[in-house]
Amino acid sequence: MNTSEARYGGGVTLLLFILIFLPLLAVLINVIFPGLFFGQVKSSSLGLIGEIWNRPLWKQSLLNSVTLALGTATIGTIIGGVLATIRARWDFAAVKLLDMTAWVLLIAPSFMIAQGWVLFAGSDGLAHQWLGQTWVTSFIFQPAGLVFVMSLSKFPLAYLAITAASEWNIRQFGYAARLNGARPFTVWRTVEMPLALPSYVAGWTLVFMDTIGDFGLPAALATVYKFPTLTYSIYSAIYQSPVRFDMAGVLAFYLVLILVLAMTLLMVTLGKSRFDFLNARAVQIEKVRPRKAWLYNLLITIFLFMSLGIPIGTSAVVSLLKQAGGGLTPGNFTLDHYRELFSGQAGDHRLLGYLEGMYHSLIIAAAAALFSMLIGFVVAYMLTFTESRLKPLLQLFSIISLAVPGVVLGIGYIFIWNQKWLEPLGLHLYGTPSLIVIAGIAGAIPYAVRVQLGAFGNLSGTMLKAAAIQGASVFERMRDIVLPLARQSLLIATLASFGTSVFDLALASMLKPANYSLMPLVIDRAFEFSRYGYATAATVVSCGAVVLMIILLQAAGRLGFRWLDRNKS
Amino acid sequence: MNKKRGFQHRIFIALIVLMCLLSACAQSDGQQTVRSKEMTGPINGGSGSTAGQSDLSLTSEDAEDTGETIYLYGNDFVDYIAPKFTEETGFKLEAVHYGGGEALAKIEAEQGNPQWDVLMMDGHGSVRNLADRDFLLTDWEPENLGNLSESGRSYVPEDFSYFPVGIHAAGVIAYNTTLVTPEKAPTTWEQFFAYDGPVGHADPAVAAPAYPLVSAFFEQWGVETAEQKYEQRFEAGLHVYPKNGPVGKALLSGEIEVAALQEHNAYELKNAGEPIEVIWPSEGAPGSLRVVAISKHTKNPVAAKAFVEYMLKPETQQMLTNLDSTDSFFTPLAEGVMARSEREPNGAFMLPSAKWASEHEVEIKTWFADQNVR
Repeated sequence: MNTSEARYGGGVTLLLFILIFLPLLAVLINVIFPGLFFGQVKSSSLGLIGEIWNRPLWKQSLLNSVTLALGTATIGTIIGGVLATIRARWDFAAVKLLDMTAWVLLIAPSFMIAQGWVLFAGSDGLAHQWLGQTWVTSFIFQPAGLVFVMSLSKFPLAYLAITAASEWNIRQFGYAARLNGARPFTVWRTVEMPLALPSYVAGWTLVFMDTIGDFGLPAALATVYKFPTLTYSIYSAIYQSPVRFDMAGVLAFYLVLILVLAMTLLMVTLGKSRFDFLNARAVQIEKVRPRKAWLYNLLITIFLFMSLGIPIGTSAVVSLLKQAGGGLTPGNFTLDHYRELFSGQAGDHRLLGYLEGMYHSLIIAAAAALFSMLIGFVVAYMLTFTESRLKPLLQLFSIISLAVPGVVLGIGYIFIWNQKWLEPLGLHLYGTPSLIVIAGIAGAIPYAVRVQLGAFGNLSGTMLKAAAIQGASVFERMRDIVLPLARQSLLIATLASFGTSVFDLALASMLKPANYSLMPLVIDRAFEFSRYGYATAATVVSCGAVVLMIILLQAAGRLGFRWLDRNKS
Repeated sequence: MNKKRGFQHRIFIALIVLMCLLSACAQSDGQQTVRSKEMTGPINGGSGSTAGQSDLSLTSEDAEDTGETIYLYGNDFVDYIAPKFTEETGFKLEAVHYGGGEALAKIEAEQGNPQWDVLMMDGHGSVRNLADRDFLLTDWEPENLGNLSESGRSYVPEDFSYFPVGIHAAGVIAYNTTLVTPEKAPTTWEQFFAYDGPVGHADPAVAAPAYPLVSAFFEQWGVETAEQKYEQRFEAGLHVYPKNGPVGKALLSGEIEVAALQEHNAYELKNAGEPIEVIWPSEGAPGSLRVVAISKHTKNPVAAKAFVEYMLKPETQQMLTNLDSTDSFFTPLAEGVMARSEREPNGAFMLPSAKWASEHEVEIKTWFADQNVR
């Protein structure tokens, strides 16, 4: 459009390239030239790519990942679809609860959910010890059980994608059909379903991608159940001896390949339309109160109890017990684990220092959220309101990090940022918290971009053109027109990415500086050392604190905006 | 125009400011050390300056060092030993705790630009492997090497690439007394492998003492026989856990009945009054040799060497065996140091040679990991 816009476009494209694409590229390059990033040039045969079929561990990981992701995507989409359909049509009390649970599950890190399940279903877990249900253990710790657990925690992606689609656009067709005498089910089958299909596919792909790229759940389950997945094998290829960076690269290559296929499916189905999950323009339509509202309320509540109540509830209960397997007696209850959290003494290892870890995590997440929002704003602006030639590249880069799991991003960051020549430049960021911030920004950008695209989609470009004609610069257009109109969703985007980066286990475990305590690591380690009370108390406090913070900041934002508006007028 | 550019610049400037801020805050945490020449060599004062001749001889060389904090990667004692060492010698040391596999991986990941100075870990095979690949400082003979006992001296490699500090049992037989009677409990490793019921041990790829455990069996029986025995064992029920902590937990919960458990963990459970009995097989427990080694690329060789000298001192080793922690269960290798009384006083060790363990490391670990998923 004009040179200054091109410069902005170029700037953010370069930034996304460095933050997101370059690390991925480094991982893939390492497959072809292993050792390149250690300053040695060794040629490699591409035969390594095929080695995945020869090593049982890697082959099994690939198969496990694909099975898990396919199963979870399918069941998660069914659950999400049913719930979204009910949600779009009926009005009953549990709806609010459903929405809230969906968001909590979306933000809650999968390793915490997994730990809750392990404590519930493990051989010394609550189901076993208290309820006497021995079948729970054998049901959960097998592939189908994992699909079940994953579906219960990943369905919100499908739910939100489908809800977003079934809440607008298609009502009038449904009314037309109803006027012509069609029954609700017929309307759903012949009108709504076909129109909603893209959103189902979108939901399915999102769940699929999120599951196959998930690190937390396999990491948490690794202590109790042998079910290697791609992400965990990538992590273990570089965090065990013998170290196989080359093989980690190959595994990452397969992972990215699968994700690209899923993404292509998504793109083809959606045509050129945008991803509409996580958006802020839910149009409220009048909903009908169902005749048997109590039944809906009951069923939904039971379901939510299973998906969120079991894992979180188990953690909460265990955090109050002296001995996890000790039974439900008054003598077994204690607040010691909480006291220990705040006493600052963590026992054997300094890495278990909770308060310090929490403080570090909060600061890092806040910085990552702020910057990702800022960059996301410029990217979304470029994508929505300009004709920049860099648009396809921006699209690509901003989506890629959605597809690149934290573990892969993590190795790429080690390759790139632990280079000797960066030291004299003062840019040797490996082993400093800044690198976790940068990686966090990279991880949060796709979400920031998507949310803001959703918000900007409602704005008309004509205002901007008018402003441009009047001589307003790009910066003025951003500041005075787009920002005020989109600020509410900006705030939500920032808070959401804050919520997710606080708990990011994969990047934290790969990039943390020596002896640097971070909250997800504290929890994970305590769990690994079998200090369940400490781990669960930390989980409860962290989740509570982050949710509280998000609620407060949102309220503060609302008040602040109102105050601003009053002062302006 | 300026304004437009200004905004763009502001993003970058903000990012850079942020990085600086963060690295500054890291520095105050002691993560990244300031390059200053203020401190070259040990701080004098405290009990440290009189700590022994070795320290005196070191100060003369201190021009070599940058005076920065040195980093120790280790799997035991780390939180305890760093402040003690600094207190006694004045050299600044930051100890980082890793599992054995983790530490090796970290060293590997950093090979382009190593961030560590000293390594102290179990498993001389893996450390030998590092030495063979030119990661370690060699051909420097510590003065305190003379303090070692006869068996201690026999573990010192010819190229002085690492130095033995102590040895402990990578695995003793531990069983849950509520599930297994003393008559039924295996007392030899043959019986352990033939035990009729679920057994378990730690993962050699992850836990530091687990490769010494597995490699001892492989060396004892020969690779082929050992593979056969493990295959049978996997079929009859062998649970592999990432580390020894979870192994102990599984033994308590009844998930496994018998375990090849690292002695720290075994005695810790027994002493805590849990229903666990420990057997030190008469043919010997697979030994885990704890060694210290210096990075070839250390910028602070004087401080790093001081740490090695410190670890070889009988006083240091005595202090460690007196610790009120299960880490103190080991056989010290300095002459005249008393080991913990609770453990088997005459326990024998099975210890493969460093060369053998190093040469077979990749092969055995890979084979094991693949068996584990079958």
